[in-house]
Amino acid sequence: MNRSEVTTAAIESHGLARDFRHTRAVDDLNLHVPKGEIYGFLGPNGAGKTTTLKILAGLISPTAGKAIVASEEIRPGTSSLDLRRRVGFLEEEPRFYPWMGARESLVFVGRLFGLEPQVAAVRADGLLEAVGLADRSGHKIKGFSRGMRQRLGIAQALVGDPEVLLLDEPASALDPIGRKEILGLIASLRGQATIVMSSHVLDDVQRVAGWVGVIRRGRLLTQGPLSTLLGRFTRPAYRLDIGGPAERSRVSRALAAESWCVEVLEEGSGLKIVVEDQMIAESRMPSLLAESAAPLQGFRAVTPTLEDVFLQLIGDEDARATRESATRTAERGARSAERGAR
Amino acid sequence: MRALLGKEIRELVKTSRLVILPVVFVILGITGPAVIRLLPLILENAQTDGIDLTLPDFGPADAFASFLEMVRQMGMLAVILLFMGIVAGERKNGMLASLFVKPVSRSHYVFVRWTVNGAYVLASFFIGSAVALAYTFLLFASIDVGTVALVTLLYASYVLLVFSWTMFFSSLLPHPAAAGGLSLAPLFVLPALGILWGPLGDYGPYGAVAGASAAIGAVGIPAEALGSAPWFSAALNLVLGVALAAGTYLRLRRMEL
Repeated sequence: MNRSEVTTAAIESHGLARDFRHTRAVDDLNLHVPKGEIYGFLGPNGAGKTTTLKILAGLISPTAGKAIVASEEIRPGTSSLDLRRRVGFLEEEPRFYPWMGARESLVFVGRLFGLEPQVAAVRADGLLEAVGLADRSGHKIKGFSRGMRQRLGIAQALVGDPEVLLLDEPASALDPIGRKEILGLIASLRGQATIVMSSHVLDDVQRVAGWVGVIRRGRLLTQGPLSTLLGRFTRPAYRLDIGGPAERSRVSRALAAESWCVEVLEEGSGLKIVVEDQMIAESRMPSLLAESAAPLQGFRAVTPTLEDVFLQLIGDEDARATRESATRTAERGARSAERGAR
Repeated sequence: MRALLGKEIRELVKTSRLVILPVVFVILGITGPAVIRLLPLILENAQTDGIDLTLPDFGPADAFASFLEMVRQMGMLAVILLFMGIVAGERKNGMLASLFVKPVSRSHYVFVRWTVNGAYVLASFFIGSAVALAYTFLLFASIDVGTVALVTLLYASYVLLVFSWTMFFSSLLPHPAAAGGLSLAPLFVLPALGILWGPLGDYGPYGAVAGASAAIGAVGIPAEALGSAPWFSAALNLVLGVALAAGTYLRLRRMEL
């Protein structure tokens, strides 16, 4: 971690692990979430995101390691009411008593957090307004769509005015407009609460998160400020728009033969070129394109995205896992050959 | 705690559960004495030539005993069906996780649910008893209200025990139906304990029910004076009820959601 990345943490975990029978869902997790930051928690399906969030929310206990969330310590076998007073949690599919109305549900949650009835009612009205459900405040939750439940879930996670907000896929059930509104709401909480949001939608995370952590098979692959990760894990890339398919194919082959070119991808009517070194690429590319005599219609540098970081990290991890597996197989083979020779 | 208490009472009202059990017990309170009143007529009409049935004279005690017998069978079944999902249902639909991720003490949760719903079950049973008593007056003659009150109290301890074990099994098993199935087992096992060892029948959990039935009397069987055994059994039922509520808490304390 760089010196600039060391900030006061709202969440810290050290060697956090969680086993389910014979499966290790979370393995040696060392999280660092700066206070007041929005932390995007990324990973493929089954990576351990939800299990991690449940541990941090105090719903399940870790098998090993410890975490400190809003100054409350989480260790194996511990459960703290104080932790739950300071944390707001949104499940992937939020649940409510279906017989309650939306406002009634928020007032009830407010009362669980120790708010006086009048205060809870005022806060419920404000939150219903914020999540766009003010006109449904008296309606029974039984008739709510999944998107409406998700909005209400975000509101109930905020009722207790939490120091730490844990959101598991907060925008997964929302339409594009709802998604934009909720992401706007989450972004507006920056500085007021520390937010950890898991998501499969990398674009959502890139829109609001300042920090990002990537988890794979229960292990944290990397974490840090988004800008740092974009710089660290993405290679320079360019977009070339070239006239006909034959010309595109010719240029693609010519570029692929160059040592400084890492990858050439066909994207619609153009090519995306990923390069090793920006300086070399920019000095060599004009002459190469001129030699190919292809009708160049456009040329621009491509801004790296979180998706690039994610795919590269996951790809690297897969390659590492494959290498390790191959090494283990080779070692086993060598040992058995040795035994056979004896 | 007050928030949970308020929610529990509102839930009873808003889900119409408030009326279900009283209606069941009121129906049993009406049909118990009515069946005894109408039984001679029914049998007389159904009597075929050549068969001469001589029925004993049914009295008010038989009418109330009939109500208690119906409670022992259908009343207990209704309690089990209504509460087999009290914990398992909320666990299955994710409500329990949603609740316990907030600052809710699991002991408060169990205490409120056991107290409010236990009171509701008892109140329903008492309403049914009052209706049975009124119908007994209406269809037969007066009955010793003091004996009926004592018998009702003894029975109530067993009704509370049935509710308590249903709640406990509901916390033990993940599916409401499985919890309901398991909750039926003690209804058959407890009466059989007296066969294994006499004092277990008198002083065990079912002793309150057996003692109450003996005290009210039955057709051709004179009423017995209440001894100490049924009261011991009733006290045991209360202790067991509290112990089962504590067991529910211990189960929830360790439960991961």
